[in-house]
Amino acid sequence: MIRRTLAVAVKELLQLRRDWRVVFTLVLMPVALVLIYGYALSFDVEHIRLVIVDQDGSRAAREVARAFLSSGHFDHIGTTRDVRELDRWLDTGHAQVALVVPSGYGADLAAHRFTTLQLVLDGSDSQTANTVLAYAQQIVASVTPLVRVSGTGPALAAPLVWYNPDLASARFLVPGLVAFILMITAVIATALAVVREKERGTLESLRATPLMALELLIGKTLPYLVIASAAAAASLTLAWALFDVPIRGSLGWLAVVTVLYLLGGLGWGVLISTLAETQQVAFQVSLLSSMLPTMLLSGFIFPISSMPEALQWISHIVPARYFLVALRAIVLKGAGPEMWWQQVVGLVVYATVVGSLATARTVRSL
Amino acid sequence: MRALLVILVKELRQLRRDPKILPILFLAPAFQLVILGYAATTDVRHVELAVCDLDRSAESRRLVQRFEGSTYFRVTGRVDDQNGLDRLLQDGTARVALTIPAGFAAERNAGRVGTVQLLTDGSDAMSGSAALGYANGVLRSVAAAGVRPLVELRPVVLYNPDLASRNFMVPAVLSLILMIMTMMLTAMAIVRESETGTLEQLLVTPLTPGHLILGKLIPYALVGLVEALSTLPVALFWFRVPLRGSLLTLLAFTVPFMLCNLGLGLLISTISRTQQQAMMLTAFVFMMPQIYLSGFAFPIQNMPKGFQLVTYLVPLRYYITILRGIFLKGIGIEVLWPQALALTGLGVAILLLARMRFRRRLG
Repeated sequence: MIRRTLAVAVKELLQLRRDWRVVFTLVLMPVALVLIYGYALSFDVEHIRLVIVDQDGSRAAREVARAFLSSGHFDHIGTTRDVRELDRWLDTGHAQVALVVPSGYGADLAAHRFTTLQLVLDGSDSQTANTVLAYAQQIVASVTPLVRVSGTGPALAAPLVWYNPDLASARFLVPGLVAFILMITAVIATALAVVREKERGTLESLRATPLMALELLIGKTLPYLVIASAAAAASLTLAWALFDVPIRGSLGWLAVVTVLYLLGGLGWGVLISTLAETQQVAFQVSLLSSMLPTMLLSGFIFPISSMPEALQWISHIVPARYFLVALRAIVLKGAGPEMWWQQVVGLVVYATVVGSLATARTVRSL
Repeated sequence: MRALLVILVKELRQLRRDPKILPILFLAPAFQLVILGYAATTDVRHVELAVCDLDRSAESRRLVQRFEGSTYFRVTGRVDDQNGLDRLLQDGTARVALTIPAGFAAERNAGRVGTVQLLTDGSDAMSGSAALGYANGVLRSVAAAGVRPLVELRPVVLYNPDLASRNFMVPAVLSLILMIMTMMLTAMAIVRESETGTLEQLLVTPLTPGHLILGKLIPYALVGLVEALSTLPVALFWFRVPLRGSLLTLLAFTVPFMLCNLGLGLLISTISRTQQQAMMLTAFVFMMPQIYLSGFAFPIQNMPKGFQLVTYLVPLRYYITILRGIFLKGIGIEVLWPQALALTGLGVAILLLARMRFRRRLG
């Protein structure tokens, strides 16, 4: 059995060598993409485009405006006295936020009367808007005094952030990016493997050999597993070297989890390949089933705990979900297997189910 | 003109012959939007909170109740010892840990500052920082009893007053789905004919490359428009994203966007030699950059300058701006003309490029 499996693997490798561009793409693309997007993507909200509407013109007004500008979060886009101009600024998106200092602000402050500032925000991007609001509140609190109104003291929080003390989004996003890119690579690698033989009629000749379904599938997957593992190792090394993703946990476990994840992805590709009649259908199904679900349902960008209950259930069929939890735990928290063994179970179950379905399908078509 | 008609009929017949393709084309987009529209939420809710109350006063219990009562937190663990918090954070039971030190109530009653400790799991930077913000909000509402700031900041939120991320994300997910669906349609169109050898047959007919390209483009543009029409109701009536601008403008802007993606598909199809290459090119070179550089989840203004320049080549970037503008801000062509112009320009350029490549390949 091992000999026959190896024979298929060697045949597949020979075929791959003829189209070296495919191997090149499968190994180098993931690395290049991690490199590019690792730099490009971030959730840190900076360079917020700010308009200042100063209706007061006092020194206190200029002071609070200066506090906003020197905070480093805001880019000064313009100053105006007329609130009606704001619509145009915000509609076109030239400004995201406007600080309105009402007339009388300076006088109120000088007389120690309670007063207000207004912040007009473009709320369409709620996440950015929330962050901007928090920044603005901090700035206002830092330049204006508090007044004690009763005998009870205030409650304050001493925040402490673990694993990623400066809350850098790269450290959190890059592992997600690696998971996403590896999934696409794995599915794409095998999605055409069987259907291509079907379309070209070479499956007939394989049928004439004493090959069993399982041998055929393992033989076809093996070369791609090697290629995808190389891609995984290269992208994780890059994440560690360039993006300060610390690898705090054990490398051995990292390898085990990654290979399990890749097996799931490759298995899914093979399953598509056995189901589809034409390469075009295989192509569409594999992109549709891997691209968006891996990005949106895995916890890569959007937290799973915020999704509706039903969707949290659905997310269990997305293997990236398990891989990401385990990957972040190993890489960022340095946690041992007792913390994430459930994720390993998830990955194993996924790979087994997908693999046996694919084998069953192949038995039928042989 | 007749030649064009002939090839159109041929393409439509071919499309009809593959029974598996039709459900993919017409049902998948709406179905995906229903599911993924829910997934794309940046509102951080039900953050898992672990509590360690060392004060055990009425006041500390009230503080914990405040946390429980807010929709932002869900208490998933209580420990009597701060060391117990480590484990809860490490295995992911909790993402935020609140410690109320002994003497918290006494300090505040004496008019001094009572400090609690908030421990956050930063490995998920986004929900980590959001959770810190919410926690500060809860504390501020408790603290408000004692002091009042002399200057109050009053926020006025335009376009999306309840700051619901769904209103922002659903239009973007809709455009992602349209992009993927339409680019897929044409990415294999020509390479398949050349791999199966039928391109040779087409070449001996009096059809010109222009005819072939248009013949591949027009039927799929129709399919794309039907897909747009089947997903828009999902956004409007299922997710109830407010449509403040004109539906007609939105559809009009959809046409150049379709052209761009179908054109990109054709371009891929003329560059690649095998269907496998076409697939890799589509996924890695044409789809991913569009997704990540479009500003759908990662704001463009946060990117390094060089990347910001590259985003001007991304059709999806313009379409997402257009959709969000029409849906949420209710603006129209008077504000969005630069985006419309860019999309049309890109579409024409891509199609010309595809036609050029195609002719060279035939020659």
